[in-house]
Amino acid sequence: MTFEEYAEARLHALLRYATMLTGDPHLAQDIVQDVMIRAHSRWRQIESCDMPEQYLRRSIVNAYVSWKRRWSVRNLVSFSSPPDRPAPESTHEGIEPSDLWQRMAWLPARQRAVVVLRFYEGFTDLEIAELMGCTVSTVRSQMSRALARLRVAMQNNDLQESR
Amino acid sequence: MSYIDQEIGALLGVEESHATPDVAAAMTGIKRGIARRRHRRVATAGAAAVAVVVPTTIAHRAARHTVPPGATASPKPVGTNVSTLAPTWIPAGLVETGRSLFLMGTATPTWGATRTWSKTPDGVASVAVTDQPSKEAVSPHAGTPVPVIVAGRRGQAWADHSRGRNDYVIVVQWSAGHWLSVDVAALPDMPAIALRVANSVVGTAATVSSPVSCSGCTNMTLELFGDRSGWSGVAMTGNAIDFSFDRIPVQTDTVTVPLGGGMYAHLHANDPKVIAQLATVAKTVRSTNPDYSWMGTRP
Repeated sequence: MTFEEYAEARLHALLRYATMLTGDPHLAQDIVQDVMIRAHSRWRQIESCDMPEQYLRRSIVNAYVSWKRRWSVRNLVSFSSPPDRPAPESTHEGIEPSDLWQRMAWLPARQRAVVVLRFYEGFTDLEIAELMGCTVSTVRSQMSRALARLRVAMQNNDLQESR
Repeated sequence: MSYIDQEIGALLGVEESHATPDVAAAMTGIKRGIARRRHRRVATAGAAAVAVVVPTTIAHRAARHTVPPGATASPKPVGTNVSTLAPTWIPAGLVETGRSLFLMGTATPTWGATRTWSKTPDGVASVAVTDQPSKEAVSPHAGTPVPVIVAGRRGQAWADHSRGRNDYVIVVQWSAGHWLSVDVAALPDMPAIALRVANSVVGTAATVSSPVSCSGCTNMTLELFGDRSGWSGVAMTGNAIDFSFDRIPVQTDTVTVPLGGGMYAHLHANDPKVIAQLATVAKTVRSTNPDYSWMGTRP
């Protein structure tokens, strides 16, 4: 499969994946474009590894983690701006999903990536570790820290609601 | 599954249903990025290709052709015209889709230029002709060179399959301090095409102009690509500030300067340390009303 054929067939899925990963469709587009442009020059090797999708998804995760490391201050500003679409409906009494979405946006990139890969992609710890290039124990520690942060945020939200 | 797990799972499901990525815009961005890299690669290949081993057999055969006016003059500010070598033959079906201006050398930097012909602005199959100023000999950075004769001058040719490329390159010293490079990519019978293009080059100057000037930039490597339906471009400066040129009036994380004619220059800090300089540099950007009639044409 040529690069062009692959991009035609899989770009939508990669963009959606990056959007879920970053929580920002514009950033997702930037990251996917960068990854695909870099992939184009090495397509022969990438295609020959039989798992181009996994390679590209890993590149997207890495690009997102590095981006967030470089631009963390500006990222906080961008997530405080109003969303450009209606907030999703509530899934649980007292908790607005948009609140949770914002809380997730504030997670460190690796923690957010682990959460998305687990709950959106349904990956196991081992699969996430392979994708992110780290150990299973690192995945578990990142996951537990992310969930702890979100739990605290949601408990605070509950407290405010009950007042 | 715990309470928080359910919340996150449900949230991501809802978010996914709202995620409507703009595939067309992303595809356009990818194609432009690929074209940009291709042009940049051609434009900067010379810098990487300056040889340690000087092929004196080439150097002493330097021909007494007239150096194109302006090509050996002092560096001019971007926005003025730069002269370059011009081929008189290009394979059928290819039109000029890109031009690139770049500075070479440190002590007395000189402008060089690359012109690219392809079927479409993002087409991989292409012919690029570079007028590269260099006091040192230019030699292959990949592949095994073979000797070639171009218009009576001895040069070198090699196939470049490094990093996924499928190129055939001919380099010959055109005149003192000036090297002609012909880079053919992804076309059938590339050696024959490269030789024919190289042999067709004449010393007649061709003018390459820039769409903008930037007096606040330390220097600028500029690339334009497009066709008769429109153009875009990128530039890199020594201030770690990058430009992109397009018809989009608003871009995130950039300072935008309208150029007129529906075009905009977007200044982006390549290093967080220079973000504060963006506005100052942006004030020095001027449109120079260049000529784009070359886009989509053939020699």
